[in-house]
Amino acid sequence: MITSPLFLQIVLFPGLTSIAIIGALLGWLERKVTARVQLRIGPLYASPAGGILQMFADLIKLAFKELIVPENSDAFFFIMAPTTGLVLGAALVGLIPFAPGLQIANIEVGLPAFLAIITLSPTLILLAGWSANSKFPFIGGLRALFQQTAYEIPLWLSALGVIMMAGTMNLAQIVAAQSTGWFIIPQALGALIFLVTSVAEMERLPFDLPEAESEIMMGWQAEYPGVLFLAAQGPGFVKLYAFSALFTTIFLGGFLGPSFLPPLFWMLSKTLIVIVLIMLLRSTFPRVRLDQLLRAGWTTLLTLAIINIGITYILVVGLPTL
Amino acid sequence: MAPVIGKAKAAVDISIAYLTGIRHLFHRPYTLRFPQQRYAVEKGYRGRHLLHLDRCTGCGICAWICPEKCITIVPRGQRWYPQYFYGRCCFCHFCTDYCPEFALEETVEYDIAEYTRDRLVWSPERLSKPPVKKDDKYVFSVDTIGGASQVPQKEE
Ligand code: SF4
Ligand code: SF4
Repeated sequence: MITSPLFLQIVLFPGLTSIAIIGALLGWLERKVTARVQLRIGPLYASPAGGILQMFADLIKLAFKELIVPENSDAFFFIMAPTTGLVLGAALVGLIPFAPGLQIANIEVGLPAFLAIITLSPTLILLAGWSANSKFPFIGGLRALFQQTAYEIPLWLSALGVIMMAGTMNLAQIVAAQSTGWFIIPQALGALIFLVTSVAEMERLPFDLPEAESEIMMGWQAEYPGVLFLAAQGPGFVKLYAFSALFTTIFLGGFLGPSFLPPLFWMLSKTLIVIVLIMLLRSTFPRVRLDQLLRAGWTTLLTLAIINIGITYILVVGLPTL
Repeated sequence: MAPVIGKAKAAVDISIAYLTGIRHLFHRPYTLRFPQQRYAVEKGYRGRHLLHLDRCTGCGICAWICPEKCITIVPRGQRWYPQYFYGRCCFCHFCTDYCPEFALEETVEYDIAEYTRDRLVWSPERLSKPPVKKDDKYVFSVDTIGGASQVPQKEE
């Protein structure tokens, strides 16, 4: 039982241990990329290799802080919301095929299941913000919910193009369907919409309205101390990892690549590139306003997503004959 | 049509910004890791003072002209010399200009921070030591296009 492949996959790779380590490393990578874009050096001293252990140093620091749960808050939901967010993020990674056979849950409806699980996260953020019983967290939680109405529909519609091209919702089979050509070429518009909406879903800049450090002081995370702050920050990085892996899987041919290197290498390196490209957004663009995001979601993105479905229909079925 | 043109223009601007971000990833950073790396300073930089004990007559003109009143003339045996308090000095180097005996000199040494305030009082003996030459491989110059780069240290 202990050495069964599935158990090892869940515990080691692509499961929990690797998710924790990669999440911490992404924190370092984010600071390093942001620093390099601003022509700074970034974390440097925490290890000989360019400060790569910085997040582990921060982790130790946060772990020794006093755990304060605000007096009039709802302690159960206050603690439950971020930790559940971590579990949700880990569940997302379990759906991704990292190599042939290296997939924790190979279910028939992998892509919709991924998007369905991620739908829960704004609700958790509202729960966290509400239970803190404080102004800024509550505003942040409400913003998360508003934001969801803006991006959710274009996100699903842009994923629909991929499902139409592949003729299946199973992620491993979607990868197999790309052996003749990556979906990013016929689905360029869909990939762009998917990228923009998934950045909004991850609440990263330029769509980090629920956190909005300069407006509402980290929003729903404002009241979290020490380890709980870590637990509140963690889902962001795990979601970034999972979404980049999903983007690689459905648009960039997943683990497919020239066979002189193992499939896992191709999968991880493509994911890394997507992660860096998403991190670049953070250091390049200013935050949008809530009304701008809602207008863009319901007009531009929705229109483009429907146009993309039309294009995909023509590509798959051919021009409709009247 | 106008809104579409505006949106296209915005898309171009966004792409330019994004490409600039990518370009910066491979750019040399500007940050200097002071004190491991330090700026190369030109000759004529107004750093801390160098006092030539043999030339100074103890006339006190430097103390009189100093706008911050940070020079005290202190006795050393039969003679008098200036003693500096760098906590107040603004490095205007009026004292150097006004010294009739050319006993004062500017040096390029600028990192003279100390942990306690009394260490900022420089006795005539301490002032008379020439600055320690810093290791060549730590001298950098920063330009507005290329970022920080290593340069040979200038002779003083
Ligand atoms: S340093 Fe120059 S101005 Fe000052 S006391 Fe000596 S001789 Fe006079
Ligand atoms: S540099 Fe200016 S402030 Fe400093 S001791 Fe000389 S005269 Fe005074």
